[in-house]
Order: sequence, then structure tokens, then C-alpha cells
Amino acid sequence: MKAERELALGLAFISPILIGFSVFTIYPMVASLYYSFCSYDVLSPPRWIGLGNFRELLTDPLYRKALWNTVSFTVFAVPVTIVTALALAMLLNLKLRGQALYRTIFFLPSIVPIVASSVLWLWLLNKDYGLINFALRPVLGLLNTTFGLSLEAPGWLTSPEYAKPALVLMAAWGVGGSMILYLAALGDVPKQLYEAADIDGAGAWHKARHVTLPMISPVLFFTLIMGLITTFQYFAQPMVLWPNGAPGDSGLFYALYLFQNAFIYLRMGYASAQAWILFLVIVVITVFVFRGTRRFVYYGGEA
Amino acid sequence: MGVRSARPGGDFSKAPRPRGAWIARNPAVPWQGHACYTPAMRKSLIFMRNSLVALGAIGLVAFLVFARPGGLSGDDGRTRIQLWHPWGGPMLEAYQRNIDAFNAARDDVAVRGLYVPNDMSSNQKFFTAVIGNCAPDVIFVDGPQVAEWAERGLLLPLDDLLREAGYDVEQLRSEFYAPCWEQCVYRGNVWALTFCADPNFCFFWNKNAIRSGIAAGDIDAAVVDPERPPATVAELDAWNRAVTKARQTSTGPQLERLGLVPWGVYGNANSIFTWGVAFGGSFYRDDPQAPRVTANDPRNVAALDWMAQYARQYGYGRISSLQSSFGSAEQNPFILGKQVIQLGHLSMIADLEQYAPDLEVGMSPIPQGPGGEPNPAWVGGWTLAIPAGVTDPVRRRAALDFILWSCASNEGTSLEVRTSRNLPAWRPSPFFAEVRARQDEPRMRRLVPFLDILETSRYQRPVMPAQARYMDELSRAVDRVVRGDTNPATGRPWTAEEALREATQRTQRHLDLMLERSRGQR
Repeated sequence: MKAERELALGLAFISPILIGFSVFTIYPMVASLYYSFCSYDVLSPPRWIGLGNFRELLTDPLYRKALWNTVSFTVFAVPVTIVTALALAMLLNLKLRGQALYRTIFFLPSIVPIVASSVLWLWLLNKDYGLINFALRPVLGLLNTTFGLSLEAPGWLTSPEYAKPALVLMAAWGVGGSMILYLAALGDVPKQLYEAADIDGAGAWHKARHVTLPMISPVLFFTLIMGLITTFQYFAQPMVLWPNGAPGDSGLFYALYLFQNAFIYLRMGYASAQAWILFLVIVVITVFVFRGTRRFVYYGGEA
Repeated sequence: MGVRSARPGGDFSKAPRPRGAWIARNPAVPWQGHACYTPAMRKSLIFMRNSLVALGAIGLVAFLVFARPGGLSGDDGRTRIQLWHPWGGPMLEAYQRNIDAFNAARDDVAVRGLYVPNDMSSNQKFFTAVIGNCAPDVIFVDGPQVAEWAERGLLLPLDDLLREAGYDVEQLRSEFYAPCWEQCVYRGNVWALTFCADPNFCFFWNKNAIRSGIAAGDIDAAVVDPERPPATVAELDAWNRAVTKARQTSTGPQLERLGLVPWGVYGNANSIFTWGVAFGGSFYRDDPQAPRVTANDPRNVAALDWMAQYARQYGYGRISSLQSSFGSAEQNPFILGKQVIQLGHLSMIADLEQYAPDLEVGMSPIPQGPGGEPNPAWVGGWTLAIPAGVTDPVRRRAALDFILWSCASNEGTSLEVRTSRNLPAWRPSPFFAEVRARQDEPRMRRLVPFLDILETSRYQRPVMPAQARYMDELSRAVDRVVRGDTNPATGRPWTAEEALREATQRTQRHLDLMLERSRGQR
């Protein structure tokens, strides 16, 4: 009797999340799975078309372009941001005067709203008047005169070849979030291990490679997985940088094309099919990463 | 610094318990016991709890103070209707004066305006409102969207309502400027009335910049006469050649002054549409059985070829980097004399007045393309419509009255001009006589070329569903061609014909799917 009452009470207490999860997560997921097999424009009832949407995806060049953009961007952006964040965290972990100040400064970009920072980068990346090229131009000029080259400052946002490097640059600037995680992990590496390594005569490199990296590997792993997932869903920055579409569709990312189909062209079924493929891609990659990195991740709590 | 002073593991059971410290009430449960919490932790937990309570209290008080019974019910016997409009920011207050004036003129209807913007790419709120049966009673619709919203069953046809209200639809038709009426007519019904007419575009040139260029010897006065604008695209080409100026830098040439950038007409899609019309092209053939998208009309292809020619001649990258260095308002490259020719929208007049009152500019019609007609401008603009689902005849009538007052009444159209500087689409508006009478004012003088467009233009965006898709595909085609992208199918740069053919096919497919769906539902 008492157990039943407690169960009921317990369920009542967690009912907000139960209801919320069912209504706002499970139902939409199931519904979108159903819609992915339908022609559905939101305004009238969905009509079953079987695999029609998936078949169309196979032959849609824009879809392929969006998928390619997203995959290639992920391949570059995720490692670059992890390395940048880790390097920053290691530097900021040095016991220096003003450590807290430096940490704050490097964390600041991540509290700037995405739209605001994107607008800022719009200026920084300007070909003729942006600060990035302002810094780059003397270097290029020197290279040109010394080696007789004719390098030009890149049009970061105006030429398709430089669109993704520009976005990677932006991503590397906003790594404060994972930097904080690494700082916490670095602070958690037991001192004895470094002492032991010192006694064994290990240098800075060997300590980093054989003590620090293994000890923070769970956090690295976590940021890798999260980075993959969020980068596959990359949306806001290209939307702000190129409101009318990037040159050569270079800014057409998966989530952006999905959004266009769902909410602008009102092809909700087609967009649902895209969403499910994205979901499967992320699941497969995550499983793959889990399997592939198992050997390299060390959990202190494991036997 | 309280956290530092805490000594973990100390015995705190004898410490005086802070008042109301329920957090540490039950010593029997270990994780709630005294021993687990240092005084500092307890203090911060209590602080957090008190803050939450205080915040909640403030919220409740604020709610009680500021919440007013809203909604559409009134006890004054007026029919209250809701309007969604796109005039936000500084325009909000200006537009509200229109609503207030209508409400003051009527004692049986009260309109409540709400800023809910929509455009080609952000109409989700309205769509969900219609499905959810909570749409407003009147809504602003961008002209090119009317057909799609009608096709999707989101709007009420106005013909019968107009007739019931005692209006002669044919008479009304003759009172509106032709493109403004035509953009609201789809499949034989009238779905909206045009609120403001957007004459797109006028040919502007910066006389000061051209004169100083001539004085400095870098513009050939034999080619460019600042008092005699180019009348044809060929003459425009000559002007462009004469005014373009580049400077050598260590990293290559940099453009310093440009003429008219053909794809710089308010985005790629507006550019190809404008030049396509100038070259005599057509974009859509409205056959009720099999409507055809005709983006690859040979004259549109010729227009895009001409645009691409300009890109090749002056370098796409150099042009776009010059353009991206400037913005709107006082950063406008036209005002700064960096881009001395431009096709301008009505809003140019207000911009010039505000940011460059002393700048001398010339205004004339868009140059005529080969195969086109003189002054090939087209007209767009916002319309007002009644959403589907407004079933109550009293509210329908109130909504229709508001639309007619806004779009086709002396008071409404005159006020519209004063508050939001839009042009009415309704010929009998007293505003037009006023413009002709006040030609001594520069602003009124500058309006005349735009009024000429309204009088003469026969063009509007194709009245068709799938407009948003069409514009995206046109934009993509222009981008591919002017930038000289490689067509993966041929391995060579996209030709204008290939790019426009693909835009045609993709839009046609989207259109067919949409029509098949909505016809299938009926």
C-alpha cells in the first residue's frame, strides 16, 4: 500500500518532465518519422508517399551540397576548436599573475550572443577594410616581394573557397565553453602524478603527453562528441553572415537547407526525411567515435 | 570569502541554526543532515532559496500591477478586430496613427494592431495561427505572396464581400494602378487590396561625384554628361566604362569608383527580375491548366549574359569587396560617391534627404534593354487581406471596412503618406494632386519619376504560388553565372542559359508539387 502510494507520489513529482518529454520530444520525433514518409505542407493533412522523400534526397544536388558542406566543415572545425581550446586551457593553467583576468578575457567571446558575434565577424572578415586582412596584407606583401608571388588578401565572405575557413576561424574564437571544461579537468589531474613523472625525469612534453592527456581524456572525449553533434546542426552563423545565401551555396549547411524546406517552402515531409537522415548520421558517427576511441579514454574510476 | 573560512569535517551541530533553515531540518537523512553542510554552504542555500522567493514575489506583484484584461471583448458595443502588420521599430508609432484615425472615425469598430512581421521566409507564425484557428481578422501580405497564400487556402476571396458591401469590383479595379490590382488577383478572385505601391526602380546618378570626376580628368566628359542620363543599356555600358576607376595596391588592383552594378539591385533575385523585364523577358505564363515557369526566356538569358559580362569586365571579386565595405544609410556607397549610379527604391528619397541633403542627384527611368520597352519598371507593395477562418459576418465586414479605409479612401491614403511615406496604390487619392501642386519642394519633385512608373508600368512580380522558391532559384542562377562557377555537368562555367534553365526546372517542379497537393485536397 505504502509502496504504491510512494510510487504514485514519485510519479506525480516527476510528471512535469514526463509530460514535457512526451509532448515536446517523443511525440514530435514519432510524428516527424511519420511525416518523413508523407507529402506534408503543414496546412493540410499529410499524404503517405512511402519512400518518395528519401528517393528525392538521393537526386537533389542542393541536398548533396548541404551535406558535403556540413561534413567538410565538421571535419575541420571540430579538431581545430578542440586543439585551440586545449592549447588555451594549458596556457591559462600556468600560474601567472593575472591568471583570472586572462581566463575571463578568453572566456568572454562565448557569452557574446551568436548573432552579435556574427555581425562583428562580418566586419572583421571584410576583404578590403577588415582587421583580419589588415593584419594579413603586410605578410602577403612581404611574401609577394620576396618570392615574386601575387597573393591577394582573401575575400573571406565573398568567395566560396574561403567561406568555410572563415567559419572555422569564428568557431576557434568562441571556444571559451570547452576551454573552461579543460581548465577544470586540468585542475583535477593529481599532483602526485606530475611529481612521480618529475622523479622519473620526464620533461614538459612527456608530462603533457603521458600524464595530462590521459587524465583529461574523458573530457576531451565528451567535447569531441558534443562538438560533432553541434557542428552537424550548425545553423545560426551562416544564417546571419549570408542572409541571402552565400556565394556558390558555400554557406548552405544541412540544418539551413532543412529549415528552408520546412518553413519557407513548406515541405515538412521532405524536411522530416532530412532530419531523420541527419539523426542517423549523427548516431552512426557517435557510435563509431565511441568504439574508435575507447582505447584512448582513461576513466580513473574504472578498475 | 565565506567559502574559504569553512573547515570541512568540523562539528557544526552545535552551531545556532539560522532562522527558517529547513534545508538542514532532518538529521535522520544523511544527505540532509547537519554534518553534510558547512555553515557557508547552508548560508548560500538559504540565500538562493530566499532569492527565489523574492523573485517570485516580485513577479507576482508585477503581474498584478501590469496585467490588464486584454482581448477583444469590450463593453462599449464595438466590434473589436485584430490586425497583424509588419511596421516595427520607428515605423510602429507612425503606423499606429493610421489605426487610431480609423478607430476615431468609427464608433462601431475598434482595430487593435499587433506588430507580427511576415515576409517570404518568415510566415510561420501566420500559418500556424490559421491552422490553430486563432488568425487575426486582417493581415498585411507582401504583394508577391498573395497568390501563394490564396492557393494554400489561407485567405478569403474579397469579391463577394465587396459586392455585399455595395462596391462595384470593376469600378474599384479601375481606381487602382494596374500592377497593384493585378498582384491581388489570382484564379479569377480578388484576395487583397494593395496598401502601398512600390515602384521598382528609378535610375539615380550622383551628379556631384561625376562632376568632380570630370574636373579631376578621370571621367570622360564626352561620354558622360551629368545632365543627360543613358536611355539604353548600351549607353549605360559606356557610362559604366567611363566612371569605373581602379587603384594599384601591393596586393593587386582595388576598385575605387564604380558605375551601376547590374546584380546590385536589392539582391540577385530583384536584379535579374528587373533586368529581365528591361530586356523584354517574361518570367511566368499563367495557363490555368499548366502554368509555366519561364525563367529561361531567351530575353532573360540575354539579360543575365549582360550582367555576367559586367562581372567579367571589372572582376566579380573586386566589385563585391568594394560593395561589402559599405552599408546602408550614411554608409551607402552611392551617397559616398563610390558607386555613382544605382537603381533606387522609393526609400532612396528619404535616405538622401536625411543623410545627404545637399547631394545633387539625377533621376530617370531604368535604361531600356535590347528587346525591351522604355521605362521597364515594375511595381510591388504590401497588401491587406482577410485570413481564412474569419467566419463571423460582422467581423468580416469590419475587416473589409478597415481594408477599404486604408487602401481606398481619401482619409486613409492621405494619412498613410504622412505617417509612413508610402505611396498609395489608389489613383483618386488626394495625395497625388498634392505632389503635382507642391513641385517647389525637392522631396515632391523627386517623387514624380516614381509616380510616372505607377502611371505607366504594366509589370508586377509573376502572380503565382512558389514565389519564395522562384526568387531563391533566380538568386542562385545569378550567383552562379556572375561569379563564373563551374557547372559540374559540363565542367565549364555556368552559362546564363544553363543556370536559368535549372532555375526554371526546379521552380516548376516545386510549383507542380504544390498545385497537385492543393488541387488534390479540394
